[in-house]
Amino acid sequence: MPAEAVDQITDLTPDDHACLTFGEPEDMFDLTAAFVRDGLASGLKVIWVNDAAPQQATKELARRGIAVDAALASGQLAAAECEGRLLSGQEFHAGRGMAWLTGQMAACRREGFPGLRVAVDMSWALRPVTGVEQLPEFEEGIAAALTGTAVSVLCQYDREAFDPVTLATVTALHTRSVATATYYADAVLRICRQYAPPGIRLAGEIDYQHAEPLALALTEAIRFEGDIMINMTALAFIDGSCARMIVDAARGLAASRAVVLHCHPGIEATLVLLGAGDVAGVRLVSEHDG
Amino acid sequence: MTGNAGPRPGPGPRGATVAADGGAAGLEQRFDGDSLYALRAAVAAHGSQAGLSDGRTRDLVLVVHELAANAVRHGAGHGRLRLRATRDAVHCEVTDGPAGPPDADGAEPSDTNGAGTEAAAAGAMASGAAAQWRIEPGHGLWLVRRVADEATVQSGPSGTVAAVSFRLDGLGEPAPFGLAQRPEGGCTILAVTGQLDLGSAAEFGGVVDELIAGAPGLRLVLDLTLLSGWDSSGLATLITAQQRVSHHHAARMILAGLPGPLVQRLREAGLDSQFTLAGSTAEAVEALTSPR
Repeated sequence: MPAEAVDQITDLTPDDHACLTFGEPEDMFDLTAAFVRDGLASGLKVIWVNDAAPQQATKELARRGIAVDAALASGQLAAAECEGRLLSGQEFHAGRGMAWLTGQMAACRREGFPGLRVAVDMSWALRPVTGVEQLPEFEEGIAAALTGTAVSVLCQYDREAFDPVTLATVTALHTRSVATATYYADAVLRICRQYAPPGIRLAGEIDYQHAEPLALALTEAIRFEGDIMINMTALAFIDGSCARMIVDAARGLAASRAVVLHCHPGIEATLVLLGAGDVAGVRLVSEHDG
Repeated sequence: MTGNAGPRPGPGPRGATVAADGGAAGLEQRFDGDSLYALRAAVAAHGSQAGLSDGRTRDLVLVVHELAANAVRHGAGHGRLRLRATRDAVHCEVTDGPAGPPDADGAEPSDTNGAGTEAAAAGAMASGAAAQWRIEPGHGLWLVRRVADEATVQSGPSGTVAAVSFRLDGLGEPAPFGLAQRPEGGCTILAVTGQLDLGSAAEFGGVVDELIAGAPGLRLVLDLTLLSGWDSSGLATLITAQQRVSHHHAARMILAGLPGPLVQRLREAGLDSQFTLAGSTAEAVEALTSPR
């Protein structure tokens, strides 16, 4: 059935055919890392077909805390290019793509894995590829092939780059829509959830005028299990009241688990002046941009 | 509440004017809650152009924002920033209001600047007549006091005026940042030269972490005789170093030879009690090695 509501990446079922739409690469890497992480943790085989070089893809996973090297070495994780799998030269055939997928499903069974997760970067379809009109046929094929199996596929679409008609057509062919939960977004500030590692992410500039969505995001972060990261690496400015709110939330959270505050050194200084460095369980990690 | 009173466009570069006094660059900009972002952008550009380092420019933006936010939230709901860069410092005045007609700007006495910034900062700010501008731990003005070189708040007929200044390094070439380590009388002396700031704080923090990791019973003397100043990153890295040392029961740290003006700033920031200070490295070594 076509998905209407947007679901969480962590809620996928074994035979889901999910459509991930993203506005920026950070969201795509984050959601994909969560998909890969949860798949590996359940003992499934995981394949990420990516339009970029496989090493770059696995580096993005490693940055988000996934033990990439061990999983690659054991054969549980594979990163592959589109070329030779979905594409041949600059040509796409829905049939060839399906043959590759069903081949992987069979191989996975032979290798003894209880199931398979496949993430497919669809950005190849933005290039002048022959046969791109077969994209809906390919998506329909995937949907039919997955029903009742232990195989889930996560198709990744850049919602800024794909035209609305194509997007509407293909999303309707999936069982679920998956996107980053966003608490606030305008031209200056974005507050959203982060999935791998779990937490929230702030980008842009924040001051007291946006304390409300920040409070909402922090309150929801309290409900996540395990350690939490508040990712502020893309935050250029934070005022005293929001910094204090984050320090207070971190103090509350750190009673039961570790909290990582990841930010630019200039932001870190503000947090330290407000006492963040003296809270047991709170770790400040700074990262110079560029 | 919208405070863009007056015929001129309030926020944005068009609100800026260049002062005519001695070629000093200046900025005058009205603000309200909707234009704080534009205010921060303008202040960042002017601070950087005046010669403040990246870290000090960030500090200036934070301080001006906190003062302006105070005027918006607890004062008239809008206000005016005047920024003036001289050879020695960047001076900012944030006025709550103003109550007067917008075109009376030029008629206001300019000596509020000099008088305000020369006053002893902490005292004036703590006892400021503006009762609604409360200073509470962790709040905006408290942060201002920790970050600005000088800060005062005064109430007058034209509203509440907050003045802050950020010193420039002056014409002389500032000493480059440097760290030098040596053992002395069972202690480790770490001499810091130049600015402890956004650019050097990470290096300093890394060295202190290594020293702590390498010697559980570390007796660390930070020789700050040649420290020329800090921004909030530099101050934060000192606080962090002290916290890390304190977490190791056997380890101790003393700040030695901190120049008078920086001792004063530590006091004004209310941070002197977090550190142990000594006049010289010899005194510090004696304090660390004599039985307590």
